[in-house]
Amino acid sequence: MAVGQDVGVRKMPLNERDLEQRIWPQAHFPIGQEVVGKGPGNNSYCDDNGFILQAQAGFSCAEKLYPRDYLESCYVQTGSIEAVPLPIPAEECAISSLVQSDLLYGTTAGRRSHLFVYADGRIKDLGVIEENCRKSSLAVADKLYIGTEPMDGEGSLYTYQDNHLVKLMCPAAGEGIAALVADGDRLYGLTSKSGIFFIYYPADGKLELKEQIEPPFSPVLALSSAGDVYGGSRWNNLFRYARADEKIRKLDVQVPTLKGREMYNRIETLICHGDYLYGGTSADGWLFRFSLGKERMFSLGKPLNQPHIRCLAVAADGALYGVAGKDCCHLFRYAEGDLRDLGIIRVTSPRLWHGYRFAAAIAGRQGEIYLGEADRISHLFIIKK
Amino acid sequence: MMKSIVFDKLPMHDTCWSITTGRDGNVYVGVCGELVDGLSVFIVRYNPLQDKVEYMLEVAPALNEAPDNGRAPIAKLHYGLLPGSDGKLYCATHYSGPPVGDFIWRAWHTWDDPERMARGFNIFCYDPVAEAVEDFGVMSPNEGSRAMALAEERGLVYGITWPRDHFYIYDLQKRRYRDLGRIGDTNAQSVWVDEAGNGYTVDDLGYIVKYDADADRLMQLDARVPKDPAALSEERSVYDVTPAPDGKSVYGVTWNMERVPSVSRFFRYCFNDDRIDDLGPAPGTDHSNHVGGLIFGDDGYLYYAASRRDDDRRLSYRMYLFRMNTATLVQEELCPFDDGDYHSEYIAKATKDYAGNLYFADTNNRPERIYVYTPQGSGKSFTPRWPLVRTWG
Repeated sequence: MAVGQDVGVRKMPLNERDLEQRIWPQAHFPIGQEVVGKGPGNNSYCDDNGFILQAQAGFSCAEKLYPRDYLESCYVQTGSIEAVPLPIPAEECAISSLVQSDLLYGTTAGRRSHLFVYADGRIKDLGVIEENCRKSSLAVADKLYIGTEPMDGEGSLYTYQDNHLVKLMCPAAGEGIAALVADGDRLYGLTSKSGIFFIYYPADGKLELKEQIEPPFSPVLALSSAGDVYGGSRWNNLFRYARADEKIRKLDVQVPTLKGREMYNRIETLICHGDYLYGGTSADGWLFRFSLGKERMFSLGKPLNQPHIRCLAVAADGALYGVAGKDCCHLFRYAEGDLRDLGIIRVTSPRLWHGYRFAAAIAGRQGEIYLGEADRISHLFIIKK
Repeated sequence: MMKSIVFDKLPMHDTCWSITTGRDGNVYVGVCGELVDGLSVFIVRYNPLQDKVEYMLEVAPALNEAPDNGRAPIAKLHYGLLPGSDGKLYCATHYSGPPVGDFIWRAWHTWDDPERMARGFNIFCYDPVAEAVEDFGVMSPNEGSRAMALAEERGLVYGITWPRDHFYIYDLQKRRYRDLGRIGDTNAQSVWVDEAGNGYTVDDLGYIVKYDADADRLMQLDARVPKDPAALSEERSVYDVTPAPDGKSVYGVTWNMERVPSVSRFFRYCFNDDRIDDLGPAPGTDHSNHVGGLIFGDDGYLYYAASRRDDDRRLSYRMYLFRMNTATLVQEELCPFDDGDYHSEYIAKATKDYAGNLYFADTNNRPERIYVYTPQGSGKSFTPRWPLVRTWG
C-alpha cells in the first residue's frame, strides 16, 4: 500500500459478538490476577523473565519451550568488554579509523571530524580536523597522517605534529580521500570519486597521481609487509601496486559474492596480516582471505545473515575478529577454519550501551581488540579475552 | 473503592500503555497484547456520558498486517495515541509481543530474520468521526515507536524508536520521516512538546534532549532530571511528564529503567530557562519502585500512581493513588487502585474527561481495564474545552 493512502472507512465499532466468538491464542504463563505467588508450587509456570509464578486454581496455559537464557543469549559472552566514551559531542564522534602507533589514535566523522588519542584508560581530543566529514582515514609513518572525505567538496591530507593539526594538500580537486595507508617515506591513497591511486612523499611534499582504478572501485587499500598495496577495482577484482616496479596490475582474482550480485558489492574492509589479505564485502557481508604467496582466494563464508563486514583486525593469537551487520552489528571470530558469530557487543557498566554500528578495528599489543563505534553517540570498545 | 472499566471482550490482551481523551470527549485506550503470541493491539473507546465501551479498531489488519502472519505482531500502541484538535488521533505502533507460535520475542534476536522480525512501526491517523484510518506507512524498518508527541501547530510528530533509541520527526504535511540519530540506549517513556512546538525527551543519563524546531537541531541540554541521592549509578530517565496548568512548564517523574536501584523523584522542567526543579522523592523507599499516571486534576492537584512492594506478584507491585499539592510539595495517599476485583499491579499513564474524572491505564492483567477516580468537586458537569489533555503519550 502506498504511503499516506487512506485505508478507508471501516466498520466501527467492531461487532462484540464477533470478538466473543473469536478463538484467541492461549496464555503462556499467568499474569496479574491469575498469579497467587512466586516460586515453585502445584500449578507453577515460568514467565518470559524467568520467574516461577504460581497460578490460581483452574489456570492452565499453553506452555512453550524456549531457552531460559534467551534474553542474554544474543550478546557477546566471552571475555570482557569496556566502552570508553569520547569527550567529543554527539554527531561528531563516530569513529572512522584507528591506528596503533606509540599510542592508539583515532579519527571521527560527522558534523566535525576530530583526531583523538587513547592513553591511560582515557580518550583525549587532539583537535578538529574538518567540518561535515563523511569519512576520515588515519595512517602512521614517521608521523600521523589523515585523509578526509567531506560530505561535499574537497578532502585534504593532514598531519599531526608539535601538537597541532597541519593541512598538507588536496590530492584531487572536488573530491575526498577514500583510503590512506603509509609505508615509511610515502603515503598511498585513493581519491573518493574518480578512484585515482596516488602517492604522497611527505619529505618534499611531492604528490604523484599514478592512475585511475577501474570503476566501480572499492574505497579500501591494504599494505602488505613486502610494501605492496592491494585494493579492489571493477566488480571487486583485486589489484596490486607493486613497489618493486611501481606498477598497478589487476589480478585475475575476484572477491566472492552471492551469484549475480557482483555489481551490488564493494570490498568494504581490507587488511593485510602476514601472508594473507583479509576482507569483507558490503551488500553480501561476505568474508574472504587471499593468499599473497599463492595468489589464491578463499571464501570464509558469511558470519551473519546481514549485509556488511564493517571492520577487521587480527589479534595477537592469530584469530581474525570483525564486526558485521547493518544497524545491529555483531562481533565475529575466525580461527582455524571456524567462523563464529560472537553476538551483539554490549556493556552494562558504567552505563548500559549496545554497540549497533562500527567502522574501525585494530588489534592492541596485549591481545585486546579495539573497535570504533560509528553512531551519533560513540564509544571506543575494548574487547579482552 | 475505585471504579474500573474492564475490556472483557479482549480476554487475552494484557497491557494498556496508551490512554488519552479525544476532542469528542471520549476516552481512548490502546489495549495491547504483548505476552501472548500473534495478537493485534485494539483501540477501545469509553464514552463517559453513556458509560459505554466500544471496541473501535483492530489496528494490525487496518494497517494491512495480519497479526498471525509469523512476524512480530503489531501488538502495541506504546505512548503513541495522541489527540488532535481536529478530532483525530495520531498514532504510532510498537512491538514486543511474540510472533504466532512463539513464547517470547526480542528485536535483537531477530533483527535480520525475514520471517520473525517486526515490519517496522507505522504512523497512522485514526478518525473516530469519519470512522476511517489513514496509514502514513512504515517508518523505521525493524523498530517500534516507544513514545511520541504531536506539535500540532507545526504539523510535526516527534518520537523515539525502540530498541535503538533514535529521535525521529514525522512531517504530517510533507509526509516525510527523518531519523535524527541515536540519543542513548534505553528509551525514555515520554516525549513532550512546548507551546512553540519544540520537542523534548530525556536520555538515559537524565539530560534533557531538545529538538529546536526553528534551528532544526537536536541537542542535549545541561538541564538534568534529579537523581536519587542514594543511587550509585548516573543513569536515569523519565517515565511520565504532564503539562503544568500554567503552560510554561511540565511536571515529571524519573524512571529507574527497571535496572538501576533508585527511588523515583518528581521534577518540574521550565521551558523558558531550561530549569529543572527537584521536587523530592516519590512515596516509599523501595529502590525498584514505579510511579506513573501523572495528571493534573481540575482542582489543581497533581495526581499520580505509586507502587508499594508485594513480592508475591509478577511485577512485585501494588499501585496506590496519590496527589501532590505542587505549591507545598505535600503528598497525600488517596486510595488503592482496587476495583474490588483486582488491585492493580502497574499503572502506566492517565487522562481525564470533560467532567474532570481521571482515568488510569492498567497493565499486566487479563482482561485489561482502566481505573476511574473522581476528585472531590469533579464529575458533575461535562463541559467541553480544548486543549484538555496533553498531546503526547
